[in-house]
Amino acid sequence: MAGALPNSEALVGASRGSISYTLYRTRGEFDRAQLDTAIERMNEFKFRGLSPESEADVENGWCVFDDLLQTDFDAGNVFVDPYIRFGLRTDRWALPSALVKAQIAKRLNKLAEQTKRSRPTKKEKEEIRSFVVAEMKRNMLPSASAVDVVWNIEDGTVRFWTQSTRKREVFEELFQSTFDLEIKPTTPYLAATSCGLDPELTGNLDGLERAIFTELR
Amino acid sequence: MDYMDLVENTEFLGPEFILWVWWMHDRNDGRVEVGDEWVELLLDEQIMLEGTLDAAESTRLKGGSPADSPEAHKALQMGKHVTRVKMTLNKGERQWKFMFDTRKFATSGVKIPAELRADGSDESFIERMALLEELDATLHAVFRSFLATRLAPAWAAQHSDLKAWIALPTSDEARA
Repeated sequence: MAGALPNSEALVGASRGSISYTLYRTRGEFDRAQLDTAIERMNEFKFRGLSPESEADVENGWCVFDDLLQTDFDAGNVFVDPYIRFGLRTDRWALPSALVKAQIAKRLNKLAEQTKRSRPTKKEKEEIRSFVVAEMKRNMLPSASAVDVVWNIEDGTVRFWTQSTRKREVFEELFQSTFDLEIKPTTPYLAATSCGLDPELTGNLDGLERAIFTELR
Repeated sequence: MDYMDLVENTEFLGPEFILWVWWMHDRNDGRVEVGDEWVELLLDEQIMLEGTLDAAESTRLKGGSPADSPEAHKALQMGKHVTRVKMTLNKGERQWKFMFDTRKFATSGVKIPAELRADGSDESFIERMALLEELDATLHAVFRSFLATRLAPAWAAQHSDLKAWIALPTSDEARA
């Protein structure tokens, strides 16, 4: 399981709500015979949670479709023929910076009183900051979100339920690491080369120039 | 040429595609033949155009049918291209509405036809996915129709037709 209950559950969904997604196409072979391996790999790259002691402020990993608290995958919660579906969970510590600064200042003042020195060493400042941040993390929950992923293994399309550039970058890297498959987001070029056009015409894309429709540009 | 160069160098095909759809919308009520059926692909109540050289020179029109407005036509005459547009796809009895980002070839805010089931079951999920896949497949099929001319010698004649259409006086100018 994925640790503590998050303080927000932003499910961006394939099964309900707004429908905005990035459409990808996989490059490489994948078929039903590889399903067990895919599930094993998803378990390997599952969401593992953010620890207050960890240096990391953000953690990404896979969760079960429509259930960001469940991170153990099996065929029953992954596969609805011909779709592999899951979620990308992202947890992030969102510490209030004003509070962090105030707590650090308070501890630095206390240190100055104890040591009778007006300026702390660099090491002391770093230790106080780490202590304050860890203590605050222990007393709060990270913000959490999950974005649905639906992969049609018959036609090689993958829909990722957001167009956020930051989330897309994380998703693309994690998907490729998990499944050893390259994925490309749809662009006019990818649409042109995957829409069933005569290959002879597709060849004309290379070197194609923008059409000019008016003298003013 | 590497993949990223090809992607970057052909980005204009998205705006050109929507210009072609706009022309079809104006000329043929948006009716396009896809395989063995006709669909209607219409420009809806929002359209955003940008200058080719200066993105800051943008025109954003909302409400009613902005693609039919003199302002929108004037923007085309100024060499602007469509970057985002709200669209409607009518296919038989069913209707999809969505925002289309021309340079990314991406849809957002999609409204799908009413689902038979919306109960969170696997069947409901499959139906919902099928409706989205049908939208994407239809858009790709209409794009294929555009490219079948755009990448062929027949483009020269169609390019002239599009230029002549853009050069037509706007309804305001015609009245003056």
